[in-house]
This record gives sequence, structure tokens and C-alpha cells, in this order.
Amino acid sequence: MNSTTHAAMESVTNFADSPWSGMVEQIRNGDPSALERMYRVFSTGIRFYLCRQLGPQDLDDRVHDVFLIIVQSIQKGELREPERLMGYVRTIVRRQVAAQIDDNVKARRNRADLEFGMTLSDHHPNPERSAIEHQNGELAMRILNSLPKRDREVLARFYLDEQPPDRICHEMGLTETQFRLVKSRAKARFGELGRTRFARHVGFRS
Amino acid sequence: MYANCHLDDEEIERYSMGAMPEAAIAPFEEHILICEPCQLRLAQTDAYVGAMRQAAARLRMEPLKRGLPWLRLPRLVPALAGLAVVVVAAGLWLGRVDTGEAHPFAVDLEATRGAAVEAKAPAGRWLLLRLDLANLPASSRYRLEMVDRFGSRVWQATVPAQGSKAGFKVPRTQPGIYFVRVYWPPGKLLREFGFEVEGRR
Repeated sequence: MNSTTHAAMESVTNFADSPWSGMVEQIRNGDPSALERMYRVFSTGIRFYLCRQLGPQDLDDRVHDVFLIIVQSIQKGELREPERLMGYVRTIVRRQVAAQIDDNVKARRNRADLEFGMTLSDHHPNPERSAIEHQNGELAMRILNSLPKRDREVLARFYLDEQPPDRICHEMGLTETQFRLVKSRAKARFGELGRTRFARHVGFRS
Repeated sequence: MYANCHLDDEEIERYSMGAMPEAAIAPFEEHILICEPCQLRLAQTDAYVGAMRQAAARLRMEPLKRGLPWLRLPRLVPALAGLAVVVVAAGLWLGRVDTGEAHPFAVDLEATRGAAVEAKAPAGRWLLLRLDLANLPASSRYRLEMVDRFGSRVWQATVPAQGSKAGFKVPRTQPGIYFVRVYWPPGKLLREFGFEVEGRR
């Protein structure tokens, strides 16, 4: 675990141990150090959540917008239960995601209405992301190919067909432990083979 | 709930696959918002689940080549080709050769992100489109509409929700960009998904 992670965990633990009320109160009173603390605690998480839901486009602007909304609503006294700050932040982030998706839908519909013969833009993911996804796919293929047929089928049913574990166990005559073992071995192998790449490529980081 | 401990691997996987019960999502996401190690684990799990789906789908598409190597013996090729011609001819004669419905190509759709349409499907196959309905207003059924890139409807149906997912089959489709729109039964548009049907290369 690196030093950044240690620092993040420390701040998480500290805030989890003490109530959020103090920080909320300081933000209400316009204390800049409280704003800074809140930014430190939530910025990576908000960035991660937004990136996961909406992709990396305009990420900095979106994170900034979310913070602005949160701070303004705290200052207006709209957060009635300060100890529920985490839930409040989550609600605001989710609303922003829903609003962005709604905007995308409307924009696309208008564009399709207006431009009958519209030219198609390049819809493919950026080359780096594309390469990573391709490498991950190849890695998974290598792992599946190295497994016995039964284990391959278990993983395909679970990840591709999304069958519930109890159904897979029932139909394939497995105990729950055997099922977990098949899954965890494949995942561990994937982690081993791809560890260096994972460490280097986490798209939500600024 | 998760104030001083990290998330369990199984929970992270359930969340990543959209299979987490609605009631468990809030505490999970609240933890994710403040815990960097769990964010990293979720990112890794997303990558793993995506890669496994992709690889498993590829294996499903080439089962004969992989699982039954003896079929590749040259001496069987003429016999198999002859048999295939007979089967297809018989099917055409009966007017109902469409076995593709039983083995559709599965495509996982995620709500459209920006202008990108990332999900791909092959042309000329039945498709099993799986939608993520997490965070939508609860309903036992949703109305779906599939349109082409000009907004012309090519297909519609009402489908039941299974947890935070819904799946439906669509018949063989021409290459192109398509959008699937999810409506609440009263008629409100809730979400749109995009995917591309790729022509044969």
C-alpha cells in the first residue's frame, strides 16, 4: 500500500470515527480549511464515481460542479442532518449523473432530428483504453483456455449468462465452496498476470 | 456500516455486475466515496468482469472449433458440408430456418456515456440485449424501444425487470448504430443505451 493510500485511509478513519457535524458546521460558517478537508476526503471518490458512470470526458469540470452544489447547499442549510453528509454527497453525485445522461439523450435525439444525413463521428474508445481492454480480454482468454472445461463453463455461466450461484451449483453438481474456488482461482490468476498493468492504469485519477 | 472496514470481494463483484440488492447499494456507495483502496478494488473488478465476459462470449462463439477438434479432420469436411446443405435446404423448404434465436449473442448495454457507443454486436445474429436498470424508478415492467441512428423505430416491446436488469432478444439486425430507449410504462423516457451492429469483416 503506498503512502497516498495510507494518507487516504487515515483521513477516512478519522472522519468515520468522529461525526461529520463539526465539518458541516464549519463549512456553514465559511471556514476555508473545512472546505479543503471536505475536498480532500471526497474528491477522489466523486471523481471515481463520475468517471465510472459517465466516462473520463470533462471530469474535472464535473467534479468541480458537484462540489459547488454540495458546498452551496450546505451553506444554505439544506443539509438538515449533518451526520448524514456521506449520504447527501452520494445523492448529489447520483443526481448529477442522471442529469448528464438525460442531457446526452436529449442532445442525441435533437441531433438526429436536425441532421438527417449526419456524419458519424469515431465512436471507438480512445486508443489507450482500447488497448487495455484488448489486453485484459486476451488475459482472460488465456486463463479460460488453461482451465478444465467444467470450470470454464462455471465462469461463463456466472459472468456471461449472469446465472445465480445457487443455480450454477445445482445444475453443475457443485458445492458452494467449489464454486467459490473456481471463481477465486481465476480471479487471482488474472490479478497476478495483470497486476503491473492495473497499477499503472486507473482512469479516474487526475 | 463500513466505517472502519473495507468492502468484501463478493460485494464488490455483485455491485460491479449490477446484482447488488437495492437496499445494500447506498451504504456500499457511501463507503466507496471515501475509501481509495476500495475504489481501486472496484476498478480492478470492473476490468476483470468485463474481460471475463468478453472472453467467455468469444469462447461461446467458437465452441465447435475449440471443443471438438476431431471435427477439423479434413476427411469429415465434405460429409459435414453435404449435411449442412441438406439441413439448410430442408429448413428453407419448411420456411422456418431461424435457429439463431436459441443461441443469441449476448450484449451488455450501459447507459450512454458522452457520444461514445462502445457495445458491439455482430450482424446477422439474434441478439440478447441486457440492460442495466439500476437507479431507475422502480417498476415491474419497462417499455423498450429500439431505434436506428436516425431515430426510426425498428423494434419495441414491454419487458419485465429482473432485479436491476432486463434482458430481451432481438432478431437478426443490419449493421449500423442503434439506440435502446427505456420508458416508464406511463411514457416517461428514463434512459438510453447505444450499441453498434458491426458488419462482417
